[in-house]
Amino acid sequence: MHPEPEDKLAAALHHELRQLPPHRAPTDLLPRVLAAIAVAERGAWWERSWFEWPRAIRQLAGAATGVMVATLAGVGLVLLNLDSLVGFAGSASQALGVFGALGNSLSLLGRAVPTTALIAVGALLVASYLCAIALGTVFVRCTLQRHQTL
Amino acid sequence: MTDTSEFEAFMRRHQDMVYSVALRILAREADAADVSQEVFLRAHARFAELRDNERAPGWLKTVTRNLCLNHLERYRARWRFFSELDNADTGEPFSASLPAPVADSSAHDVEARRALLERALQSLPAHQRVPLVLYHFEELSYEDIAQQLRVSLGKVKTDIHRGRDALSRVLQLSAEGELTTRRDTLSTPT
Repeated sequence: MHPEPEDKLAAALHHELRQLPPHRAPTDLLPRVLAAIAVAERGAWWERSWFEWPRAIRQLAGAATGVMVATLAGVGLVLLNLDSLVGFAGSASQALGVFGALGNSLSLLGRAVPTTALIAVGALLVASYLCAIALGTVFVRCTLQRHQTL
Repeated sequence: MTDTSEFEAFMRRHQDMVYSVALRILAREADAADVSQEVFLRAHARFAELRDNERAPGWLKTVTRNLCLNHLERYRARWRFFSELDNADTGEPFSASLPAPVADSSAHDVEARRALLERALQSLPAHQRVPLVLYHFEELSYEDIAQQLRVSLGKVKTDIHRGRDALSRVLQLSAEGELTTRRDTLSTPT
C-alpha cells in the first residue's frame, strides 16, 4: 500500500531537517554567561560595601545623610536654646493669630517641661528612627537571601 | 562553589545545541543568545545535579524550549494576526515570500541545499515555524504542541502542513534548479 503523499512529504522533510547541523553558538556566549554568574555571586549592590554602590545611589545616600545630620544639629541647637524657642512661639502665635493657642501651648510646654526631658525625648526619637532603619535593612537582606536560596 | 572550569567544559559541550534550539524557534540571533544565556545561568544554579547527569541535555532542551515559548508569548497577538492573514479569502499563504534558490551550479551542493533549507525555515512566519520546529526537531506530538502553544489541535496541524508545504516548495525549486543545470549541460554542444 502506497503511503499518502502527505506522509511521504512529511517523512522526506523530516529527514532533510534532521540532517541540518546545529548552529554554532556565538563566541561571546560563554564569556557573557561567566560574567553574569560572577555578578550574581557577588550579590545585589545593597548587599555589598557602601563603596561598591552605584555612584548615583551613593550620592543620594550621602545627601540624605547630610540632611539628616543637619536636621539633628538644628534640633539640638534649638533644644539647647529653649528660651528663644519659647519666645519665637509666642511671637509666631501673635503674628499668625490662628495658631495663637498652639504657640501659647508650646511656650507653656517649654517652661513646664525640664530641658533634660526634652533632650531625652529627642534622643529617643532619633534612636527609634535608627533602629527602624537597621531592622528594615536586616529584614530585607534576610528575605532576599532566603529568596535566592529557593 | 561550582568549579568554573568544569562548568565551562559543560557549557562548551552543550552550547551549540542550546543555541540551535533557541535560534530555530525564535529565528533571531540576538534573542536566541539572550535565551541561551538565561538557560546556562539556570543550569549553573543547578549544576550540582546536572554535572554528570545523562539527562542534562534533555533538561537543557526543555528549559530552552520553555524560555523560547515564554519569549514568544509577548508576540502572541502578532502571531494570531498573521495566522488569520493566512486564512484570508485570497488563499495565498503569507509564507509565499520564501527565499528562492539561486539557480547556479552549486544548487546541487549538499551544503548549499542545507543552507537554503535553514534560511527558508527561519523565513517562515512564527505561527508555522514554531510548531514545525517543535514537531521535527523537538519531536513533540501534535497534542503536546497544541498544549504548549495553547492553540487548537486543528490549527497546529494546519500550520505545520502549510510550513511543510512552503519548505518543500523551496526544496523542489532547488531540485528544479539542479535539473535545469543538468539539462543545460546536456544540451551544450561538444
